[in-house]
Amino acid sequence: MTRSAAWLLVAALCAGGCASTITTQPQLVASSGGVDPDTYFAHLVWTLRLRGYEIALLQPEQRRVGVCAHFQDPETAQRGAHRVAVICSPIGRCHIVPLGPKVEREPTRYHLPRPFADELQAMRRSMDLPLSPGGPPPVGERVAHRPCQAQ
Amino acid sequence: MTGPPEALDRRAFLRRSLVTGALAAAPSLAGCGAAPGMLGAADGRALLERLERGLGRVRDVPRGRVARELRGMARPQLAEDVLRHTLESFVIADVAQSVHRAPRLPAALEARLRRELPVLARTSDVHQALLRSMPPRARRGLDAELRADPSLPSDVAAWVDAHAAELGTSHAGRAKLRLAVRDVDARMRRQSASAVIDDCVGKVEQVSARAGLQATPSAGALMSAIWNQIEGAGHGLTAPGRAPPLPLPDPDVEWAQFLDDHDRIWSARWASPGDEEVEIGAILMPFGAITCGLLLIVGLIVLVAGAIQNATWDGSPRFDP
Repeated sequence: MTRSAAWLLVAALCAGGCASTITTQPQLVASSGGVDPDTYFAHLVWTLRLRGYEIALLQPEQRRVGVCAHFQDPETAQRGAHRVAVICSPIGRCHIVPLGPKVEREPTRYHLPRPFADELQAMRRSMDLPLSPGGPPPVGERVAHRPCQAQ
Repeated sequence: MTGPPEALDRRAFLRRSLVTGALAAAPSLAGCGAAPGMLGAADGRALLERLERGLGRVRDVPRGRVARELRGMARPQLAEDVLRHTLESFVIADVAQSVHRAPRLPAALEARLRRELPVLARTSDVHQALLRSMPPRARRGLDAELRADPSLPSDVAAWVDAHAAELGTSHAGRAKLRLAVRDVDARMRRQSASAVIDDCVGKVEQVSARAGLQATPSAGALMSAIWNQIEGAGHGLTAPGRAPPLPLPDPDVEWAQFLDDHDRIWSARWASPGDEEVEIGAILMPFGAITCGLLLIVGLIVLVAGAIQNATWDGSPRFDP
């Protein structure tokens, strides 16, 4: 009886609270096969552009790029944007950092809306494209901070 | 600009910013004449001092201070940048107006004005771009605000006027600004904010498509270029790449702003911070009601049984068998 009530309580709590937000580990992508960090950063930027992500801030010298991730909340059908920062280290390891409302950042994990977490996963997967044989196109000029376009 | 932004109510500030943007982009804003005549060395020095003092007051305000006061807005940093550039443009335009018809300028003043020319170009571009892309919902909101508060344009004019006075701009320039506001106010009452915005943006786009930017070797041509940029009556207002870009901010500062910038919560499901707690409370309450209800019933039964026993007792001692 007691055990059943406890399970019922957990299920009810999860139905209410766990559905809207999720806790995830920090996302990380890294160059492989001795690819030059600058080339790898150029590859990431090119991939993001190829996938249609809007560049909100680009600092090639610092190997930092900020993008806007547009997605839809499936429950309310509202569309909006969250910002994502991609920061690459000199050894070619790049952190993908979710930003924006309803994102709580802790050192080892993030609490964020479930649709945004799904979008982050999709972005992370899109970065796994293989490097093109001729190398990625140049990153281009620095882009000053601009707001995400509303959809 | 040095006045305390703390005193500004955020909601009023947002409305003011919206209308200020509309007014600043209106071609009629600076449709004014200027004082003709020769410009002496003393006048030149005085104008240069006025320019430096006004720009210094805007630029001496620490970056981020205005944005902190505008935290309630969707993009406080962007709003701060736009406000800064707009106020700087007022100062530059005011000095330019004072020397509009002077045949030649002192070299120092001319060089300083040339250096500030990109600020005007950038401000015009930003205002025009903001108004052109203003979504219908925001336009309807502006109309509603104007209907709800007919004194809003006058409030905006008073706010701008107070700041312009603080920056040391001339009485003549401020009077023309008030006239321009009155003109835009009257047009918005007759038509709608949206119609006025479309009209202004359309006119600016027409003239910007007409001609390219010319070399401006003389003082008169320099003034003409400045006024064309303010009035939208001439060359290259929106031509991309014509105006030299403004210096970019420090990358680390810009990156920190990007990380800390707060977006507006766009999903209604995430709108209230206590929603999850309300849901959890609503789930826990039935458990509490069941548990407490059970105890209540048992207690009531025991209580009634005891009362019946008491009622049926005849006072004689009772003994266990």
